[in-house]
Amino acid sequence: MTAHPGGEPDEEPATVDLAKVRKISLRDYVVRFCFGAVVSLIAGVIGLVAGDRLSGLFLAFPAILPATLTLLEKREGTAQALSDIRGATLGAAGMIAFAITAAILLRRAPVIALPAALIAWILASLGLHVLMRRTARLLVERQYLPEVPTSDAFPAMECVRDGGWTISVADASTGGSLTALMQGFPGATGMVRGALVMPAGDAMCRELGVPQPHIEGVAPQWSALARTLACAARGHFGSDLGVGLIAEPRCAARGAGHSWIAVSLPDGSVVERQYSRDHGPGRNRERDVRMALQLIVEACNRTGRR
Amino acid sequence: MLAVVVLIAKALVGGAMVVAFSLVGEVIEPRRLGGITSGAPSVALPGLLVTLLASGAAAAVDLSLGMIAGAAALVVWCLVGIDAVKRFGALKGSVAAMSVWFVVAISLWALLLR
Repeated sequence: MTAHPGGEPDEEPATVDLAKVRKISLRDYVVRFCFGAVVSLIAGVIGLVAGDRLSGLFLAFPAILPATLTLLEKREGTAQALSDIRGATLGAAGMIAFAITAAILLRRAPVIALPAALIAWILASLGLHVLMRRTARLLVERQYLPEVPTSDAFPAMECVRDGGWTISVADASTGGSLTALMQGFPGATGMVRGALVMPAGDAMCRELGVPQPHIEGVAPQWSALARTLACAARGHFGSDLGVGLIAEPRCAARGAGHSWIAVSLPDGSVVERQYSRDHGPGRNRERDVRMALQLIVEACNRTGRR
Repeated sequence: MLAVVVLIAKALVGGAMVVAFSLVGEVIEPRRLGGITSGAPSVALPGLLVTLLASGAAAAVDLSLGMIAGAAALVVWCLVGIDAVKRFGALKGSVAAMSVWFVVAISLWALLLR
């Protein structure tokens, strides 16, 4: 067995996926353009008829959001639409900063007023985003996978299907959420050989009949446990790929949010990632699901086809 | 004639900016972070720019003052919309919440800006 540990723990990064641009249909672009044009036109006409202050209200009219949310719900599900509107709340609050900055600077420095207002919007929105995440963590937010739609499992399951593989899971981290999402993929029944979901990795080792690594609070041993679970799941269910997930229980010394994810490949090698940032119980679970799906894709790409 | 040209310019640039901001939002993960662009000043930016160029700073300042009230109402709309979308789905929920935007925005305008 060869391991490919991540070295320093990885964090779930904010990423830019340019490939998603190609997935949006031309009709979606046209709908959004039309909504934007019509709202701008209405605001302009109101300005002519009733004055600029009343017209200004409509510069922040939520006409485009229903269209965006509807398209998003249709494409990726209500969970993603909800995440979008939560983000829009922060963007809207940032828009207040935009308008105040513009109102202050437009007369004094008209050339820089709008760029400065845009910067104020970015800083206020992103600042609120960071603040909200930290506040949620301080409040130990109770949350259960609001941001992971079933479609997020599709790229991983497509890789498994295209490789002609089968897969199984030993899950001591996400309470079965990973397997539930994988089961949402059409044809998953023939691909997912089985899953064992238990709250603790040591109990899972006993259930699977494999030796339990020594895990007393030492990070590399938790890593060994994740790899052991991945290999044991593959052996137990007779699948080509095995996924092992383990989350370290909250402890005084290291806090919470430490997770290890491993994928065992048919040649006996293992790819593995570890995560250490505490986002609160719900988001940690959400991160583990999403990162496990990414790791499955990475493992399949490494392995090629059957 | 100038007013019509200004209106057309606002509509075209407004539509283009909405598409541009939504593209930025689409490519950013996770969704909640990308969703910030759904609350972007995509209509406001071209609206203010065209007004500044065509009518001068005073008109643009008046627009900005109105926009402060509109943006505050948008925050309330989003907060109400989260629950409404959960209950009724994206289209019905978000459209139903619009009445809240009108009440808050017009009230703020009548109290503070009129």
